This record gives sequence, C-alpha cells and structure tokens, in this order.
Amino acid sequence: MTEARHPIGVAVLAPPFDVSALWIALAQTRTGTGQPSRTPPDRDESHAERVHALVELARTGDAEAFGQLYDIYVTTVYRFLYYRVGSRQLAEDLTSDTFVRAMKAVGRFNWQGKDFGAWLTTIARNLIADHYKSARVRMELTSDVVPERGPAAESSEDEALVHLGDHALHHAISELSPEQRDCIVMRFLSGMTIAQTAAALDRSEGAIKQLQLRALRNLAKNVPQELRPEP
Amino acid sequence: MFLRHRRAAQAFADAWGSRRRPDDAEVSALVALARRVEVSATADPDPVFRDGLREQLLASAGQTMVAGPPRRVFEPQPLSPGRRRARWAGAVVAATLALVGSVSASASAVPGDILYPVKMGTERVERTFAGDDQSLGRLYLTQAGTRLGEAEVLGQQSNTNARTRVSSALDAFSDSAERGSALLLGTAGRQVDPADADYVAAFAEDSTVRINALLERLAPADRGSAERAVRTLADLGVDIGTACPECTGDTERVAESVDDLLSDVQRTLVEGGPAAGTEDGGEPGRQSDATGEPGTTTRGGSPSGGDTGSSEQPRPRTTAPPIESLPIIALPEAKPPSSVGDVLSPVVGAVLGDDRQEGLVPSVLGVLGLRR
Repeated sequence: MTEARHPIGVAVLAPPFDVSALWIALAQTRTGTGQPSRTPPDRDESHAERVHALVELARTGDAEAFGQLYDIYVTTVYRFLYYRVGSRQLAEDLTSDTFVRAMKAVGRFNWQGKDFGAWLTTIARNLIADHYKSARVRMELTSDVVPERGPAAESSEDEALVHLGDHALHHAISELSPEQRDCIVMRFLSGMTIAQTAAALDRSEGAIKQLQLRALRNLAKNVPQELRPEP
Repeated sequence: MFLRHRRAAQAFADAWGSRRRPDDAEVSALVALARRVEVSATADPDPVFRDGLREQLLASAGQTMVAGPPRRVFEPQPLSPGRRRARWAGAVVAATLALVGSVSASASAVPGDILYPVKMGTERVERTFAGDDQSLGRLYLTQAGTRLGEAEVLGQQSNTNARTRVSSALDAFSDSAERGSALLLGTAGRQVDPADADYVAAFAEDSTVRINALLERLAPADRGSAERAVRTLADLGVDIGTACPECTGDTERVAESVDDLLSDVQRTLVEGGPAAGTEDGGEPGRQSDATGEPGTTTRGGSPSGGDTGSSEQPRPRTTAPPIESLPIIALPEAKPPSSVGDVLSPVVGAVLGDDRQEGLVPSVLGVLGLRR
C-alpha cells in the first residue's frame, strides 16, 4: 500500500469483504470525493481547501501537485469508468487518457462554480462518448456491459451469491437511459455528492435529486425480484 | 404530480443523507436498493496500474503540463537577446518589404518558394501585434488554415520536393491549431466565451472538410502528419466539450466527422499501396464530380474494393462544401499589412534614409536565418 503518499488517508479496500468496515468506509465517502478516508466530517472544509490549493499549484505547472490530485481522484474516475464501460482494461485505458488530458488542460482550468472532481468526470464522460463513436467499436460492441469480476477470491458461497447479485444488478443499471445510468454510477458507485454530480452532468442539484429518484425507480423495475432488498 | 415527484425526490435525498429510516415505504425500498448498489461498488483500480500510471504522468509532466498563460506566453522560443533583436529586425523587414510589395507577393507563397520566409516573418509580426489572447488565438487558427492551404497547393504539385513538404505543412497546421485553441478555450480566471468555442468548432469542422478533400492528394509517407492533424482536431472537440459543456451541439457533429476522417486516413494511407481512394460514396465530400463515370466508382466499376491502380492519375477535386459558406475562416487575402507599416513609419523613414538601404533586406534576412 502507498499510504505514505496519501496524507489525507486512504483506506484501500482489499478484496473482500468485511461488511462492517465497508459500511464505515462508505459512510465516510458520502461527504467527500469518493476516495475512502478516515477523516471526521469537520475535516471536509480543510479537504476542500487542500484540493483548491493543489489545483492552483497544478495550474502553474507543479507536477507533484497534480500527482496528489491524481491520488485523491483516481479511484473516483476509475470507478465511474469501470461501472460505465464494464471492462477493467478499457476502464484503465480511459482512466489513463482522462488524466493525461487533465494534465494538459489543468493550466486553463478555472473554478467558476466547477468542482475539480466533476471536471475530471466530465473529461471521462467525453472520452467514453468518443470511444463509442469509433466505428471499430460499434462493430465490436455488445449489449453486455456487465463488469468483469476481478481477481477477488470467492472463498465462500455467500460471496459467490453476492457476486451473482452484482452481476444482475449491474446488468440492470446498464439498461437505464444514459443520463440515469451516469447518475446512478456517479452517486452510488463512485461516491460523488449531489453537487459534484450536478456539476458533472451540468444540471441543477434539484434536477439531480429527481433524476436519481427516477433512476432508482426504473432500476427497481429491472432488478430481478429475488434480488430486490427488503426495505 | 410534478410536485409530488419533487417531494418524493427530496424525501429520498433526505433519507439517504441522514441514514434514518424513512416513513414512506417506497422511499424506504429505494434507499435499500441504493445501499445495495453502493455495497456492490468494490472495484478499485489495480494498484500496479494505479502506481504505474502515476509514475508515467509525473515523468511526462515536463512535456505535457502547460502552465496557465497569464498573458500571451505563447512565444515559439524564449526571448534571448538575439531573438529580441531578431523580432525587432523582423518588424523592420516587414515594414520595408511592405513598401516594395514583396509581402503581398509572398502571401501566396508555399514552402520552398523564395518568398516563403517573408511570409513567415509577416505572420510572426502579425502575432506580435495581436492585442489579446482572443485575437492571438483566432490569428493562430487563421494561420493554421493558411498552412492547410499550402498543403493543398503542394499536394497538387507533382515534383518530389513539393510532395515532401506536405507533411511539414500539415505538422505546422497541427502546431498552430493547438496553440490557437489553447488560447481561445481557456485562460486562467476567464470563462470561455461561447463565441470562441463556436469559432473553434467551426474551424475544426472546416479543417475536417479540407483535410478530407486533401486526403486523395496525400501519400503514405504523409500518414503520420495527417493522423496528427486529425487527432489534433479530435482533441479540439474534447477540449470544447470540456471547456464549454453547453456548446455540445456542434461538437458532436464535428466529433463524428473527425472520427470518420481518422478512419479514412488510416485506411487510405497504407504503406506499400498508393492512395486507394476507392471508398464507396459514404462521405459527401467524396463524390467525384466530372469524370463521366457512374456514381462514385473508380474505373474498376466496383463501389468499394481493391482497385488501387487509379491513384497516380490526377483525379478531379472532390466537391467539398465551399469554404465561403464558413466565412469565419478565410484564406488571407494578398494585401500588405498596412497597419504594421503605419506603426513603424518613423523607423521605416530611418531605414529609407540609410545609404545602405539596398543591402538591408538581404542582410537582415541573413541575420534572421530566414534566407535559405
């Protein structure tokens, strides 16, 4: 692990799956950028200030500052891409492209109500769109966007069942309309806040609240009965 | 009903934020579903990939990162004392030559012509006098269009010297296009003007059409430069979308044509075969106009396929949409830069009064290293 490089604290989730640890980590991501952190809520402001300072430095060409921004946002961007395109390899390629582009363009990033993480996600979305417009990909594209399972050890039947459920769940997510799918992926799979999602999708926060509700309702219809969780 | 939906949306948002069990059964079910989705998000980037990418990014930062320009830091080279002198001398040269009309004659010069260095000098002077980032950015794009025009002219010439210069004209196009769009699409502290984003989109679209038409003039040796030019246009599309999300209407159309163009470049400029140019009539720009042959086929008669024997023969220019329909981008007209002459008239007066005036032009050209 490379925690020495991550001053704000990174809990890299080793597969798998201590559920209680997951809950704790996920609860703390809701206020942040999707990067699991052990910071208490009142550190959010200082986190935002730190991001702001890093961006200002990166804009002047400070490579190490950009490196630290990468550390903060790489998981958010990767997860967004992975749950949108369904392939680890493609997600890695597009993550790489996203950060290269961001590095080129950070010199002209301006705040103007934008969130840096949302800006990165916008770049990622544009790259997905570019990728799917390629004629070659159109020929190869299948409708199956179920994410591959990584090298996680399926050591118990319960875990296997969880994975099977995930399989169906992500298939159901892929059936949503593009905007609803983006919203679900950003809000619940990448850990972005309503404000960040609104910035990335260029909608108001109220619109995002309605969009996420609509998306969840449609998702509930698509998910197989046996997988629908008890309220 | 809309109000009820909005209330439900707020109820869900509140329930999700607070983790308190909501009263409403439907909202409660949706919160549970959302939690289920969240828990399934276990994918993390592979640590080897993540760390490797970080190293790569930092290693390339020196070439990749461009510091946000405070004001016009886009000088091609840093201003050493020799360069400062050269810039000043360049301005003098431009003013002098305006008087003898060489500048106007040079406006149509292409690489390899004796007056081409004069044209380059004039363009440098024009950039010096651009008032702000917006003007300079548009100037760069105009000059990129000029490079493309030179490539078009060179592509029609049959001598091998001209043919080898097509690639460098395309590379110069890419350079100018990148600089111009970088200036227009974002300056630190300034919101992107949608008019600028539209300008860049129009430039990209126009350039796509022109490169498409130019394609059949290109040789496999030009492939690298052609690909770079098209990728530059593709980058512009992404940059526009990033800088001005509300401008996406045009960019999607541009992105599609750029993407098609890249496929054409890769398909057509294949090493070992002449430019086939035997695509079927998919793109509007590829319709052959006055050959007398049916439809868009080559002499082989098949709409698409392997007939590669026709490329050596000059084909009629494909009917690309006329450039006049996009008045923003126009090839520079042959006129002397009178504004430059006006500004520098005291200097010109000093130059004219010099007994050494006859020798000034060639000797200054020599100093600048413009004389080839």
